[in-house]
Amino acid sequence: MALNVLVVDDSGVMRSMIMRTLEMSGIDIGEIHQAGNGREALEVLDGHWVDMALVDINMPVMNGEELIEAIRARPAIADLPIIVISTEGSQTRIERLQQRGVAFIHKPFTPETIHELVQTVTEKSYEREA
Amino acid sequence: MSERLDAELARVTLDAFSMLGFMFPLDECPGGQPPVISDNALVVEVSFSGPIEGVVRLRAEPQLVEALAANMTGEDEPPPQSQQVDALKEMLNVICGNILPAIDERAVFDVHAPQVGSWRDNPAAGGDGAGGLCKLARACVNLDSGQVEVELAAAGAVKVE
Repeated sequence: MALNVLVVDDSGVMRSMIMRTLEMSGIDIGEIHQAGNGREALEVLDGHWVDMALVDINMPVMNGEELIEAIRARPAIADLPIIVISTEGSQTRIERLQQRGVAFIHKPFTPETIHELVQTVTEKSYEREA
Repeated sequence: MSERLDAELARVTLDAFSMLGFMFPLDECPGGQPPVISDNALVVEVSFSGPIEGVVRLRAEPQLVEALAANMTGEDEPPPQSQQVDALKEMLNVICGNILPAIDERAVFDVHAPQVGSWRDNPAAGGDGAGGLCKLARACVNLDSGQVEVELAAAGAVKVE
């Protein structure tokens, strides 16, 4: 079973990095969609089925926290598994994010870390067949 | 400057470049010696505010930055200059996000957008000479693609545990 993913980060380089790490993680990746900010992410979600979103926090136009609120307010996608990938170091802010029902990965991260967290938040196995 | 903070800055820098940039350490930079980084090195800096205000600066040789961007994007061809700058800014973001908790793990800092900057050499430890910032920590990391140097400076007196 393949995982369809939305990667949201205002840095094109970081989006590439995240996609590379996903591919290295052993997860069976289906479609990967990209967005440069929260507003673009919502447009992607309007038109495509996504199993999980990887979201940065600090973005222009619509930041990650605003995007998460918007997703949780839409009944069709309110339960979308979301992993925040951020450099945020404040435990206070991290806990506030986690209270919104999202998981958190701190940059830098390894393929193994993302693999483990994907299994946890989606509660499914997306192992790539050898 | 704090030796503990110097060591922590080196560690978070190495983690960032190895885990995200796929660059790995060689021998340590010669102790007490300035890094071998030329004047045409690319410099990026990011300012932060909160309980203390300050800046983190990172500089690296152009060929290292090109390799970094290529590693991060997975492209065989050299990425355009804009992506190279973007890659180094992302490294700086990660370094900053990981070093600030070492100053105060419960504090909430606001980290601003990184930008291209300039390097301010000051042979006097603890003095930056610009904007009243004091140098808190410095690290030089010797990677397989070249050296990077990073410094953390802050305004006012900062107690480093």
